[in-house]
Amino acid sequence: MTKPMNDPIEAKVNKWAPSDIGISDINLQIRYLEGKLFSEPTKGVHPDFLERLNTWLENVDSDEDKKNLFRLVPNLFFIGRDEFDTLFMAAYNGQIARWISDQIGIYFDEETPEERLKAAIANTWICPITDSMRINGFYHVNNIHSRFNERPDWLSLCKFGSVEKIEKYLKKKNIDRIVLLEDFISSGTQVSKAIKFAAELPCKIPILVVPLLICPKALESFKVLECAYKHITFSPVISLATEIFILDTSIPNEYAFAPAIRDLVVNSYNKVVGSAGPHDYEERPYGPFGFGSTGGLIVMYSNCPNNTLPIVHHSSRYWNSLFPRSTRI
Amino acid sequence: MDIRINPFHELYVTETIGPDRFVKLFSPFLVEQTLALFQPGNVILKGVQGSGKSMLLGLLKPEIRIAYAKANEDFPIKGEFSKFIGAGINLTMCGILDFGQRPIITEKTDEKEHLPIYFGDFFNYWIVADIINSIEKLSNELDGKIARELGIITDKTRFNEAAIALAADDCWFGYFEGIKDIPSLKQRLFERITSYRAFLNYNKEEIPSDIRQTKTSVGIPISITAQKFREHGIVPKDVNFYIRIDQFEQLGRLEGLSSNLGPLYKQVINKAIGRRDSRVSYRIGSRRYGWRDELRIYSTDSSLEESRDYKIIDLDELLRRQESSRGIFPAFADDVFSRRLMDFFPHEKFPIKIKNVFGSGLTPSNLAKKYAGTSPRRIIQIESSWPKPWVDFLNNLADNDPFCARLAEAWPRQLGKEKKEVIFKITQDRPFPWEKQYWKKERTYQALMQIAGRCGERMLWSGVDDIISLSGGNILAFISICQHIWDAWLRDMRGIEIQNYKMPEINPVTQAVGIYEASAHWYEKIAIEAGGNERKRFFEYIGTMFHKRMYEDSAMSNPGHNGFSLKESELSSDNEVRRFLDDAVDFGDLHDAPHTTKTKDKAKRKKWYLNPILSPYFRIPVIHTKEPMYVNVQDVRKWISDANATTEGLPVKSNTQSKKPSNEKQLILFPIKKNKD
Repeated sequence: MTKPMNDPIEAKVNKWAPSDIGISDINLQIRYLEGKLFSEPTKGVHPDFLERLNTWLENVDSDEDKKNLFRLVPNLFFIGRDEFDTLFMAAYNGQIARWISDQIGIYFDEETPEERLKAAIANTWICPITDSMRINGFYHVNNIHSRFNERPDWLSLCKFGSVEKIEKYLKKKNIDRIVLLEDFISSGTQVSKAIKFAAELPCKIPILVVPLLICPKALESFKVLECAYKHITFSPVISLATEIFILDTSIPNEYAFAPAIRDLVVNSYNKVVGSAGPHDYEERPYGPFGFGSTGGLIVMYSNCPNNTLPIVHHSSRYWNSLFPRSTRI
Repeated sequence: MDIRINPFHELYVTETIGPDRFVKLFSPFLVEQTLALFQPGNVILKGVQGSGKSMLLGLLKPEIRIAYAKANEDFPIKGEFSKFIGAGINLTMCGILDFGQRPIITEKTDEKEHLPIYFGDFFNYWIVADIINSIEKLSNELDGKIARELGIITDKTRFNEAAIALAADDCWFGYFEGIKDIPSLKQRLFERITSYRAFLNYNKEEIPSDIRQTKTSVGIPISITAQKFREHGIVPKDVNFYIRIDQFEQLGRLEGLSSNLGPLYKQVINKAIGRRDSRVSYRIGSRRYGWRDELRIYSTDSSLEESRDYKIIDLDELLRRQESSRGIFPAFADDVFSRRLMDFFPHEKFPIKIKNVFGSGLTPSNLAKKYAGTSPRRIIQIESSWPKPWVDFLNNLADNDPFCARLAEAWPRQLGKEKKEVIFKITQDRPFPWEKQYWKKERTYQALMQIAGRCGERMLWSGVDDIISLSGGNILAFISICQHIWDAWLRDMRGIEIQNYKMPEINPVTQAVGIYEASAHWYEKIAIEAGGNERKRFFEYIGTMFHKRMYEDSAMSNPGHNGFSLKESELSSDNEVRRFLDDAVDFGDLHDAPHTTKTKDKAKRKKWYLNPILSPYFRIPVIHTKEPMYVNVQDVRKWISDANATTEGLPVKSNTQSKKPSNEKQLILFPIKKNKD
């Protein structure tokens, strides 16, 4: 009498639509995001997004669970290459420009503030904290012609670098201040070492730390660092609110779908890690809520952070990820 | 051509498309119905967004006429009707709405009050420049072929003499002194327009004194221009000048410094129309709400009068299905559909009908079977008092013909002893009593809506008839539905090879997905227009109410309760409610119509229905059948109030009789004396 839909996702949505008024809208949102964002590869060669989405929905059996997964998709905070370029510009024209203006005391009524600012930027060493921060992209997007050929990541410096050599370099190059950039900071455990290393340089050079995106937990630990080192300033571009995470316990103002996802995350964890029993698993990705039980929903075009919910990024023999994560990229 | 592109992606084809595309896409179906546009006399062409106003007015542009000739296509306006020169102004594009964004202050006086005069002056100069432009285009393009057909003669000497005579006329107050030919006249016109624009955009300190001292009276220079070109033998006497004014409704949307000027600017244009000058005729394109309240003529105590000063062509009325006939819309939509697809399927034979792609839709019987799936008995609700044989009969009927079973279930619930007896005198002879032609026809869509609901299914809209009905006579709604269906089809065809250039036949399930998405989109976009948020809340309220009432009406006694009716006398006594409903109609969200009352008082009534495209969203039938809900104005006031649909919080006037929608057949047990309010 009537042919069913060909596309498996469309067929699912059509089946759910009579009892779920908003599901068609969610489908259209996902299709829109697929065109604008999700089609960017997360890494290497993978099936296209819609195929991954369908396989991902098939990880769970019940329609209710499938719908919950489906509802989660438009709420993932996907940051593509263009979004990062925008964050680079926002950091440079916002956090960095303001900090340097304060450092050299630029006022509104000055006649040639741009020139003084330019001169001050020329003496500012802008470096990444880890190698995941695309520092050449930052320089390129902001059209910064730097006189420094070296832009080392400070996590490597703190492990292999020499304090004396760094101090000597700062002096030789007349560097007045340092800006340390990082694309995404979840807990801050890893980057804190690098920041402490920079903060403890004997010259006590002023340092600005600019995370482009930062999770609430890391923000707390940086406040402590800021108190300990008066010459360090933290100024994130985007501070992610606690409410946009799926935590292991309910919090005020969380997403309406959070309770359902919380249950799903816990109940499907064995499947996610490929476990057939209590002692059988392939690899445990830090627990059902990801590293540090953060419960993040962040996906970057370059990789999926480890504190994002494993149901999103982890693959095992029983679970296909939506945005596959590569460890240590 | 990549057929994965949606041919309906571009919803609007008005000012944005070039003349060549216009020739391909314009459907001449409406021309015959709107011939007044191509005859002398002022015409107001009104219609909701997307009703085709700009396309029709586009026919008056010389570029379009030339494009038809270049493409060797017949110009849609034929014979006597084609004898015209069109010139015009698009109020949004020309910059005239900037009057008011900067005060005009001179040493002697605050000229804010003179802004309407400046507005009229800019209008005059723009139109006169465009008249000359039109004559030149018609004379120069295609080696003057169209000019010759019209009898336009533009030899240099004659044209320049006309320019000198025009420039010397008193109507300009000396602004054109020294003009010797057409080029210098055009240059001076251009200078004036540019000066205005430069001033309004703060690029000039003040309006030059030669402009301030030569402000013209709206309409007069335009008429004089037509007269001079005729007197000098450039334009024959039987060729009419039609002046287009498009986007008239924008005058009601001015903000900031200009917020109070909109009505005055309308009055200025009314003044040009009200001159009843046979030398030129005006054509105003306006959305419904743009042409309603302001008919006064600037700086006079007169107002425009319909029929005497202007005629109205109401495109919405023209295109909406009449109760007695399907009207012209289906053929118009077929033509528009075919033209849209032509470029995408070069190997197909055209014209293509809507039916070729979307089919005829499913029959009620098949639809019911689709909703019922493998458990058809869930579509009927059994009453505990019904005898077992009748229950068995219904269940068996549901297994084979669920649609018929739903009608059968409703039959004994209706009023009338005879109908109730059917449960005891079960017949196997067809047609069954509930299959009587009109009884069944009137309840078909209510029954299907209830079956879908009882089975937890979404109503499945598909096929040419559903698409035409849901479009409600609005071509934009039709294209929008096609666009969403095509989108859904492309999504569904992901990963499947689409056979090149072959016209698809889109299955009903995919169509239903697209139609629902179109409906939801139209519901969301209500909020975009002025007052839209309030209206949207009202529609949510009444749409949900209609659904509930019709769904719960298990006897199917009120298949027409997807609309409501009010006495006209009652409505005219409540300006707030009348205004609210008028706005909703003018924005195209409600459709209204007078109707014949079935009540004894025979009072004149008016009925309202939601824009048909909203029916899938609210899960209500689109058909207007039987009687709508008879309510009183207090009921509507209460709906508006309950829906929080007015920013001022429309108060509910006290009236104890209006707690429930009125049913005039129902006698009141304890009549209450009506309060005077």
